[in-house]
Amino acid sequence: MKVDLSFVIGGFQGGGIESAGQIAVKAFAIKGHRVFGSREYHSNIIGAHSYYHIRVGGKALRMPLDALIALDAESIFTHFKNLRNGAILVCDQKSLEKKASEIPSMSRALRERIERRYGSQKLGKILENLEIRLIALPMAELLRKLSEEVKKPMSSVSRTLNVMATSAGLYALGLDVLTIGRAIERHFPNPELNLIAMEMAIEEVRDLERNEIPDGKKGEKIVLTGNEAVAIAKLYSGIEFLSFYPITPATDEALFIEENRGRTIIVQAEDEISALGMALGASIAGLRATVTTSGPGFSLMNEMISFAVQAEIPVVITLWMRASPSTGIATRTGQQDLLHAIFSGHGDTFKIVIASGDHEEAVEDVQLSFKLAEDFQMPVIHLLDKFIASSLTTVENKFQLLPKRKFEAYEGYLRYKLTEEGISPFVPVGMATMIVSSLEHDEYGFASEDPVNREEMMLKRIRKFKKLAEKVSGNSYSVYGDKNAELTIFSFGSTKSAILEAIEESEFSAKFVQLRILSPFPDISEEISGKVLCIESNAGQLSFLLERYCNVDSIAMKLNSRPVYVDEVIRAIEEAMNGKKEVILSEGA
Amino acid sequence: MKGPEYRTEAWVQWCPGCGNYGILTALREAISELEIEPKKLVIVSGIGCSSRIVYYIRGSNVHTIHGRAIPVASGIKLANPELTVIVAAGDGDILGIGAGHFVALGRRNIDVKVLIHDNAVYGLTKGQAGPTLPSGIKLRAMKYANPQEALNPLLLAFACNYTFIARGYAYHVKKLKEILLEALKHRGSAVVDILQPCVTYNDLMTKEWFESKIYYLEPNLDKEAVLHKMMEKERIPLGIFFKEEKETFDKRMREFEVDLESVIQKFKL
Repeated sequence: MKVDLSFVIGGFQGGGIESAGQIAVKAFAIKGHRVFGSREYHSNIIGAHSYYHIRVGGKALRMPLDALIALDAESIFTHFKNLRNGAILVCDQKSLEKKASEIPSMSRALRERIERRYGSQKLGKILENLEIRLIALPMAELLRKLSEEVKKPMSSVSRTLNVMATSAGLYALGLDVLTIGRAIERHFPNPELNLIAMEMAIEEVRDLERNEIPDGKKGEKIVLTGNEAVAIAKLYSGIEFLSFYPITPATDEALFIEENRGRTIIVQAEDEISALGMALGASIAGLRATVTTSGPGFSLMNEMISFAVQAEIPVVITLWMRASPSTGIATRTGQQDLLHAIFSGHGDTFKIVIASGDHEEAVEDVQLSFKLAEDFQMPVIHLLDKFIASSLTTVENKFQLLPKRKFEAYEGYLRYKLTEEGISPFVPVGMATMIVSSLEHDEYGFASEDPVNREEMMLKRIRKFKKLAEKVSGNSYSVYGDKNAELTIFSFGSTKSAILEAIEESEFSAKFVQLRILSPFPDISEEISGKVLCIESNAGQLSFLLERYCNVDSIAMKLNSRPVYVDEVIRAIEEAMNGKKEVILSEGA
Repeated sequence: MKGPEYRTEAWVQWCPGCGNYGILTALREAISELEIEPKKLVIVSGIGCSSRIVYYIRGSNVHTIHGRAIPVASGIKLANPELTVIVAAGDGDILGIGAGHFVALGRRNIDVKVLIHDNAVYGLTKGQAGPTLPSGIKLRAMKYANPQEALNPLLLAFACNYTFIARGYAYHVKKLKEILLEALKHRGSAVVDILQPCVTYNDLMTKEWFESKIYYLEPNLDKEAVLHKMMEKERIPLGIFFKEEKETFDKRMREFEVDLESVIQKFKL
């Protein structure tokens, strides 16, 4: 039997929601199922609504929900509209007494939407009209019992509320006690109290009618976030230098590397200009160097990108996109930095831009990024987003070591030697005399304004970029689905899994061209079959690039800063086939 | 290895009489005295007249972008501690556009020596006020008197915890060379503010103007006396103001072995 579930665990930030989500993801992974947990949170330290949307049996998010595990009333107000008929709602009895107006952390916009529709009714009253299975736990009583049993004050047992609700919810969804217990043991270093809390909560739902989740695949399971996947891939790639300035959602990658760095030099810079500047310095001196950032930090890095292109310095820039422009919504997702990445830096700044569709591709692309950066001595921008950054999922162990470069210095070394392919031998400073220069330079590196030299150097960099395009032409994009489809979908990055599932299910025959390398941008005209639909989480940046090669009939834009869901892609395909030019994807809470 | 080894084929394109010549000569002599192998010498410059110095001394040099020599130099030094890494750039470069990096270098005590070619004007863009030009002064090419106050590079360096702080004068080549020698021998973030006339655009701070004001510090002043000397305005004291041995940045970072298999192990269920 295929297990396919979609559910949300919600609570307030700082109230154990992170543990609750991780336990749920780990429990299904332990049971042997493919699982994906997307974390949504506010730019806030404590108090604001936060949730995990968990999908079992797939890697993409689906609506409606099979269950909602609510640690507080705001979670119910936020997500109940997404519950399907017959869905499970696990919550605290007390929450049902709440009115929207009694929750100060709730956004005014949401409160007004609820009050417009339901007036100022209590939550319990609103839920009466839904066909759901309500499991209202007597939390205060359970905690009091727990406090008595373990002989600890209420204040110290009340933090198990997240485990209680989650355990009851997971049990109601069909998981067995043993598996939930193992997930709790795996999550907490000292799980004893939480295990007792789990048993107490499950006792409350023991008699529930439910379908037991069968065992899935056996074998090694690794569960990690996108930030962690990239960090580990970088450590395997043998990075020797990382500099960064704290920014959501890139910081977690940097901190993970810092904690496990070994001999990697890590510097927290004074700003992102310096972060990239230091990485370029380290790279000039022969180290494998990288930085990690998000949109606002990447803006600051622009002048350094131009320098890296001109002075031919390898570097890998990991760009975790978030909802922009400007500060935008720092903790939410988006794909608005595509054109910025491709066209970053002033001048003819030839560079490589790679976008990964999921955690496993991210791991592969980290390696590819370092190889290309070093082979072609230019910056590589590895495009990812907040959705991948903080999503937790099962991945295969495909981490690989990347051998170090060997440098050979020789008499008469020329840093910018003109060659047929435009690639000059790279020797770090300290091994030969040279000038690494941001000014237009001659082969040695001396500044030169001579028009003939200028043209030769421009042509050298152009040849290098052409050679690069030739080298990556086979890997620039992946094609899925029916070759002679009625519709060709173009997209890039984290929309991949949702689109793959949607084309499987759609009643129309659709193919999906996932762009992996966006600079140099590949010629995709041969892949067109039927109408063209472009799906992206921005106002049409990929469409703008595609227009050079084809006519984009429809564009589906995700603008609400939440990830793309399978179901809205299925609808978008239908609408595109019906001739709709512009579709707005609005799913997500 | 002596002087000529460090000369390059490049034509020196500074104006006749420019203070940069004095700095070039003093620096060349200092590195030649220390017998630094050219390929182990890394001069990192920003943008401006002074930053052309990377073309005039044979080394393994880097010409970066405006204001950003310090981050690039820091990365180089951390990557390869055996290199002698010198930042050479103007007051506008280091204390104007690049001031944030100047502050950060002091806080880190990375072994990079910063030479500020301090002429109080932006020469290459034709004579605008630099960050060390006092307010109320109108130089030759300026349309109005400078509305911004000057900053004090020495006090700023002191506040940022630079472990070597000195001031020199470009036309006193021998004395400047002595200061540079001390700076080069120092282990840690060092700054040498080098006063230099800009013969084309700074018609106030001329050779005569400087030479009527400068004098050399007496040795062995205590910290408080030094701070007063740094603040002195009417006359301009030169020499090494401050020097202390402190753990450098690389020593503050703990190195350890990491077993990558065990890193992944944490994520296995």
